[in-house]
Amino acid sequence: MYQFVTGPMAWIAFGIFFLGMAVKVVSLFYLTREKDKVVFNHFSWQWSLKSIIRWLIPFGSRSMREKPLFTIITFSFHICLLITPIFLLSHNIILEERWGISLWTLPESVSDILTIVVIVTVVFLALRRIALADVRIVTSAYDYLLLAITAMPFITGFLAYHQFSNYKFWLIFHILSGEIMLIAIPFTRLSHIFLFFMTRAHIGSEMGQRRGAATW
Amino acid sequence: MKYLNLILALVVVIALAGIPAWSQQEEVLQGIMDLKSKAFVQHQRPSVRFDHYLHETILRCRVCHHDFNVFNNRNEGKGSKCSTCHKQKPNKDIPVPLLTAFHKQCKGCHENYAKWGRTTGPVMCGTCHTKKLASNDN
Amino acid sequence: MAEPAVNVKLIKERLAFLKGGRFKAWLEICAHCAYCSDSCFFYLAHDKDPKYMPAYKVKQTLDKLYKKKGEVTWEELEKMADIAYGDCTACRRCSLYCPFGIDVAVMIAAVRGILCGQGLAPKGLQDAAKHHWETGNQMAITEEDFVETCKWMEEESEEEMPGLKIPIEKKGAETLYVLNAREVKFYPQDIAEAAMILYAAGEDWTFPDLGWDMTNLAMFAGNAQVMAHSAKLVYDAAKRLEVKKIITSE
Ligand code: HEM
Ligand code: HEM
Ligand code: SF4
Ligand code: SF4
Repeated sequence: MYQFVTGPMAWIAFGIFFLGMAVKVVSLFYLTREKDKVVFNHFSWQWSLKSIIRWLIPFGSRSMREKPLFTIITFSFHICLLITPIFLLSHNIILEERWGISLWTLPESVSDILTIVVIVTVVFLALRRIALADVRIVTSAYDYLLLAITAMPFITGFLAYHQFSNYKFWLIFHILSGEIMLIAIPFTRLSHIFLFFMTRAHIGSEMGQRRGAATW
Repeated sequence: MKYLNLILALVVVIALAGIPAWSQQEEVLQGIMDLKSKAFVQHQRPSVRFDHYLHETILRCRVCHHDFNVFNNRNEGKGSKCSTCHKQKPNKDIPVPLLTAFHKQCKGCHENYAKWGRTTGPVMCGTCHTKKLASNDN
Repeated sequence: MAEPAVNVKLIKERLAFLKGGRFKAWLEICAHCAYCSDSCFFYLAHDKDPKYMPAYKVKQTLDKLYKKKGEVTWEELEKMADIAYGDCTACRRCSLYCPFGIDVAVMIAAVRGILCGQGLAPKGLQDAAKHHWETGNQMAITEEDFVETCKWMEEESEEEMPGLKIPIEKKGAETLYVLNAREVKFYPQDIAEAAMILYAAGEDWTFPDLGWDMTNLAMFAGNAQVMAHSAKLVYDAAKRLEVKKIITSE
C-alpha cells in the first residue's frame, strides 16, 4: 500500500495537479481572449503587479485593515499551509530518494508548530462561517468540504508524526489525503492558488489603467 | 466458583502466548544496535533500533560496509560506521550526507526488496523511528 | 393570473454567450469570505442585513442561473429581478474590497440583461428604453418640441444676454453639448443656463438635432441593443457635426 501511494499514486496526483492547472490557466486565457476582449484593452503590467503585491502583503489593502483579526488568521493559515509541506523534512527525504531533489528543510519541531497553526486556523475559519451572519449566508456544505480537504493532510500528518495509535494507518491516510488535495486543486475553488494572480491582474488594470483608481 | 475455571484457563492461555513472545524478544535483542550516531549532535527523531544479527544472517557484510578504495579493497577493517566517512555536510569526496546515507542504506534497500516482491523491513518513517521503543534511552 | 412562461432557451443562450474567462473564474473562486460585505452601502444601510452582502447577491442570481443551467421558474426570476434591480446599483465598490477583485457589478449587469430578455426589467426603465429606441431620447420628445424649447429658451434669455443663440445641428462647431431629456421636458431653464455659460465662455458649440439625450437608461435595464443604440446616437452626432469634444450636462 505504501509503495502504491508513494509511487504510482503520487505520480498521478502530481500529474493531475500540474497538468490540470496548466490546462486550466491556458484555457481560461484563451477563453478570455475570445469572449472578454475588454480584459486586454486596458491591461497594464504595472497596475497588475501593484494590485497583486498589495494583496499579498498582510494589511496591504484597506479591506484587510478593516477586518484585522480575519486577516491575521487567514495569512497565518496560508503562509503555514504553503511553507510546511514544501520545506518539511520527511517530504524532502522522500523527494530526494525518488527524484533526487531536495530543498532546505525546517527543523521538525518548527514544522510541527506550523502544522498546529494550520489546524487551529482552519478550526477558526470554520467557526467564523458559523458565527458571522454575512459569512453564514454564503456558506454551503461545499465550503466546509474544501476546508476539510485542505485540513486533512495536516491533521493526519500531525497524527502520523506523533505516532498516534495506528501509525501505518495514519501515514497511508495522510498521503492519500495529501493526494486528494492535490487532485482537487484544479477542479475546485482551490484553483485560486493560480487564478488569484489572473483575477487580481484584471481588476488592477481595469480600475487602475482605465480609471487611475487603486484596488487596495 | 463457576468463573474460576474460566479465569484459570485465561491465565494459562495468556502465559502460553506470552512465553514465545518473551523468549523471542530475548533472542532478537542479542544483536540489536541503537543507531544513535554522535555526528548528529541532537537527534530530531527517536533513534532507530537496528537488528544487526538479523541482517548479517541474510546479507554479506560488503553490501552495507561498502567503503572500498579505488582498487576495490576494503579501506578499513571490520566494523566501520557510516559516520566514519559520511558527514552531516557533504564534501566533494563523500557527496552523500550522513542522513541520506542512513536512509538510502536502510530504506532504499527495503524498498528495493518490496519492489522485487520479497519480504522486507520497514519503509515508513515512524516504523523505524519508533517513539515507544526508544523513549527510555533517547 | 397565470405566470408568464419562462423563455428557457433564451436564458441558456445568454448564459452560454456570457461565459467568458472572467465569469468562469469569478464564479469558481469566490471564497465566500465576506471581505466584500462592509463595502456595500446596501448592506451597511440595512443594519448589516446579510442578504445585502455582495457575494450573496451573485449567489442568488448568476450563480444560481448557471447551477440550474437556466432552468428556473418565473417566481425565481422575479426574485432575481428584485435583487438585480433593487438591491445593487452596480457601483463596483465591492470589487475593490474583494481579495480576488471579483466584479459583482459586472455580473449583476449580466443578470439584468437576462432578466430584461424575459421582460422583467422595471417598467420605468423598459419604457425609457422603448422611447429611446423609437425617438432617440428617453422621454419621447419629438424633434419639433426640442427645437421649439430651444427657441423659447433663446427668447427667455434675450433680456439677460442679448445676442445669445442656441445653435442646433451646426456643422463644424468645436463642442457638442448633450443633456438629459428630463431637462428638456421638465427643467427647460437648465438649457438657458447652460447656454449662458457656454456663451459667456465664448464656446463655439451646438446641439445635435438627434442624439442630444446622453442618458442611457437601457444600460440600467440591461438592454444591450438599445444601450448600444443610445450611445451610438451621440457618437454619430459628434461624427456628423465634426466636433472636437462633447460636453454633457449633470
Ligand atoms: C504525495 C504526497 C505526500 C506524501 C508521500 C507525504 C508524506 C509524508 C510523510 C512521510 C510524513 C511524515 C510522517 C511521519 O513523520 O511519520 C508527512 C508529514 C506531513 N505532511 Fe505529508 N505527504 C504528502 C502530501 C502532503 C500534502 C499535500 C501536505 C499539505 C498540504 C502534507 C503535509 C504534511 C504535514 C503537515 C505533515 C506533518 C508535519 C508535522 O506535524 O510534523 N503532506 N508527509
Ligand atoms: C498564492 C497562493 C494563495 C493565495 C494568494 C490565496 C488567497 C486566498 C484568498 C484571498 C482567500 C479568500 C479569503 C481568505 O480566507 O483569506 C483564500 C481562501 C482559501 N484558501 Fe487560499 N490562497 C493561496 C493558496 C492556497 C492554497 C495552496 C490552499 C490549499 C490548497 C488554499 C486554501 C484556501 C482555502 C481552503 C480557503 C477558504 C478559507 C475559508 O473557507 O474561509 N489557498 N485564499
Ligand atoms: S470578497 Fe470576493 S471572494 Fe470574498 S465573498 Fe466577496 S466576492 Fe467572494
Ligand atoms: S456593486 Fe452592488 S453589491 Fe457591489 S457594492 Fe455596489 S451596490 Fe453593493
